[in-house]
Formats: sequence, structure tokens, C-alpha cells
Amino acid sequence: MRSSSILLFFLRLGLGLLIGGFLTLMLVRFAPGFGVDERELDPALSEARRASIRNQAEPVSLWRSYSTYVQGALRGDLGTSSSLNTTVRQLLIDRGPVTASTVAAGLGLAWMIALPLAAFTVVWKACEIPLIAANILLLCLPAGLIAVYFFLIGLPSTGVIAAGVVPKVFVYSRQMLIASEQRPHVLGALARGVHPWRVFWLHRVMPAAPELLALLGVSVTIALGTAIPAEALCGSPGLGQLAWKAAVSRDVAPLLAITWLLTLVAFTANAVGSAIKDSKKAWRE
Amino acid sequence: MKWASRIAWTFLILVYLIALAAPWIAPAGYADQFRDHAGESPSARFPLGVDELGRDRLSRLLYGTRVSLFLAPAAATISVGLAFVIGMAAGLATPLLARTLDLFIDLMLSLPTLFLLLIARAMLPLNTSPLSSVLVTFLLMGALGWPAAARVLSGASRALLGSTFLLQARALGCSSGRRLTIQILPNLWPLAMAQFFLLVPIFILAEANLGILGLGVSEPLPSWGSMLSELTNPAAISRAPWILAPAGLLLTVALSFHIAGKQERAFS
Repeated sequence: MRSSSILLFFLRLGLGLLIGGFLTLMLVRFAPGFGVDERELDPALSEARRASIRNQAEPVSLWRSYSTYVQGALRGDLGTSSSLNTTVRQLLIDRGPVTASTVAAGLGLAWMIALPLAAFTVVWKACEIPLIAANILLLCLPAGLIAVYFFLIGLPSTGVIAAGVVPKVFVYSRQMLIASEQRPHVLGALARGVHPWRVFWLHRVMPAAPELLALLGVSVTIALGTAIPAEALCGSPGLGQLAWKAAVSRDVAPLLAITWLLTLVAFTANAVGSAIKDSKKAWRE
Repeated sequence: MKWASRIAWTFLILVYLIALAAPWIAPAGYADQFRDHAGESPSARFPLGVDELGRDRLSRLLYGTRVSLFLAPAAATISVGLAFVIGMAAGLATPLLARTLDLFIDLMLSLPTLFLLLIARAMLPLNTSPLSSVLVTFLLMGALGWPAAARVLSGASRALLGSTFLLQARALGCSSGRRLTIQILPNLWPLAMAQFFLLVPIFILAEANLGILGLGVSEPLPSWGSMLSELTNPAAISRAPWILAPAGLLLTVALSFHIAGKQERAFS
């Protein structure tokens, strides 16, 4: 990769993060309950008192609040959690590694299950229907329900993340491997008597590596989404559980910071996957 | 697999008809309480038993089916509409605009949707009516669920631009408006339909996840998600396994949408 494309990649990443943060803040700003003081909901209050509470609230400019937030974030100040009475930064430091290890283990497990299964159905054409049916069944189950089941049988949240990622990786990698079946170089190698496993590994899996890396980027996003029900329902003290607790107690500061952080992780993973895919395409051309 | 698709369609039509007829066939209203029967097991009067607040589970399931089955396709329609416009624009626009739109699609794909839904639900005022909360939830799903479909549609639009029949139409002097309405839109339509059938079960599952986490539709309005929140009590499942009925119905309906959508995907 040339230095100009590396620079472009980081520029794109920074821009993406800024826009992503702005979109998140915009969603908060225009959410139906924004700016409503909880004191207004007291039925004992008179209409005049409610109006005075409403008038006390200062109008917040979207741009100003975003620039203040970004400036604070650059200094490491992400606000304070009103429900947990701790700085959001400290919460992220405490809980981030838990989620990182859970998601990494879940992803690893999912890929270790899905890729060999996809290869198994493509190369041997065996157990195709039961495996595809099992995958579709997993696709139709909410992650929350899988988390409840895993919690009941005493399995960790890693398994829930793996169960959420496996069907997608299986379906897409299987499609990729099937598409490579009729390529001329694969047919040529088979006609020359090269061992089917050697053909499979060197002529089908290896050329599809950039696409598989792009799929890995997508699976990071899926795994992060699954982390909320997985951690909340299995009692794992990570960012997913923090997001759930913050949502239940209407604590927006941690939610904003987590969404920003996860957007950064997912966007980076997707961008790296796409960059590798594009560089391979450019190299081929 | 035509027979599987037929079974899926028949099942979906049947569930929709039952959901439509809920006010007439449900034994009770979804919020009616039978306090003397709270927590009762299934009986002739209450086929799926009574919940802890004394509400008939079958009636709540029938009304909940209406909420999930009518609002998820509505949200999917919004998403596919947005994806159609943005995806087609990204596919057919000038290179600079196309690149900008591609970046926007990539960015939206990276946004953790469930987290954004949590933020929006957390922001809703406590006095929001159940109907407003459910409408806001599904509206947000519709507004946030378009990027994957837009990426597919932009790729298809680009592929169409290089197709021989479109080049021939251009060479014959066909105007760009006519090319769009006669050549491009009809070719993208089956793909958009396939995306619709992919999105409906995704939205049903997203609502179910929110419901299980206690952030779905506000009480007393039922939905599959809010009924599934009963499952978070492990003791209740072994004591009253019939509370799994909404999970079974959700699984079957999502499966039917997948099978019905497979036919559409094969066609597209």
C-alpha cells in the first residue's frame, strides 16, 4: 500500500468517525424525549409551574454541543454517568477489556465453526440440508433468546456471540466457495489430477482471502451488536451490559461514548477489510 | 423447493388473517385482568394460561402478533424505499457523488444499530404512550435499516449501467428518464423485494431483542418482544413452559419469511 493511500485511509477513518459521532448526537437531539425535564411529569404540578420549568431549560445548539463533546473527548473527558456516578472514561477502561475479550473469543469460535462447516458442505457435499437448516434456524432466533438459553444451561456469553455470527459467516463463505467452484484455474487444476484438498486450499480458499477478511470486518459489527443481549442477560460486566444499564436508567452519556467507540471499531474493521479487498483488485488489474 | 415456499406463504397468510381477526377471536382484551386467576396454568378458559398480572396470554399473543407482523413490514418498506433512492443514486451518480454516497453507506453500516435504538428508547419520556413508543421504535428501525440493502442496490445499479441492453437503448437515443423507468427500475425491483423479505425478519428479531431487554413496546401493549421478556426469569420457564409459545411463533414466522424470501432472491 502506498503512503498516499494510507493517508487517505486515515483521513476517511477520521471523517467517518466525525460524521458517525454527529449522526449519533443528532439522533439524541431529535429523539422525542430530548430536553424534557423529568420534573415536568409530576402530576401534582400546575400548568404554570410546568411552563416555568420548560422556560428554564436552555436551548442547545446541535453544532455547539457536538463541538463541545468532541473537544472534551479529545481531552479524554467523555462526561459522567448519572446512574453510576463515575466518569464514562473510567467505565470504558473498566469494561472495555471484558467486551474486547468476549467479542474476540466469540468471533474466533464462530469462524472456527462456520468456515470448516462451509468447506465441509462445499467439498464433500455432505450434510448440506441439515447444516443449512440449522443455520437458518439460528438466523431466525433473537440473540436475547439464545442468551437466555445459554444462561440457563450455564454457558458463557462468548457462545451467544458465536451463535449470532456463525450463520452469517457460514452463508457468505459457502457462497464464496461455491462461486469459486467453476473458475477455470480450479477446473484446470482438478483436470490435471491435483489433490482436491490442495485445490480447495490453494485455489479456492487462498484467492478468496481478501473477501474473507472483508467478511471478518462485517462479522465484527454483528458481534458487537450481539454483545448487548449476550452480556446483559448472561451477566458479563462488559460494555454491552453497561449500554443496557444506561438505557434502562436513561443515562445518555455512557451510551453516546459506547456508540462512538463501537462505530470506530466497526468502521476500522470494515475499512481495513475493504482496503485489502480493493488493493487485491488493483493488483489484479 | 417450491413446496416449502408454498407452505411458508400459506402459513404467513394464515397468521396475518388470525392477527387481523384478533379483536373478534381473542377471548379477552390484551389489558383485561383476571386477578383471581393470576399465574394460572393453561385451561379451557385460558389455553395459554394467565400471566402474573392476571392477563390472558393467548389474547396478548394474538394482539402482540398484530403489532409485530404489521409494523415490521412497514419499517422494512421505509428501509427499502430509502435504500432504493440512496442505492440507485450511488450506483448511477457521477464518480465523486457516488464515492461520497458509498462512504455514507459504509459509515451507516458501521453504526451499531441496536445501540442507536437503545439511545432512542432511553430518551423517550416516561409518559410516552405505548402506541407512540412502538411507532417510534419501528420508525427508527426503518430509518436505520437501509444501508445493507442500499449497498446491494448500488452494486446492482452499477452492473446495470454496463449492461449491453442499456448501452443499446442509449445508442438508440432512449432518453435518460425513459431508461430509468423502463430499463433500470424494473430490473432493480425484484432485488428490492428480496431485500424487503430479508429485512422483515431482521426487524422482528430486533424488536424481540429490545423486548427481552425490557426496552421494547411499553406496557400494557403486547408485542412478541415484550411477551418474551417473561423468559428472563429462568425459574418461570421450567415451571410454565407454555410461556415459550411467543418464541415458537416468532421462530416459525421468521423462518417462513426466510423461505418466502429465498424464492424472491432466486428470482432476483
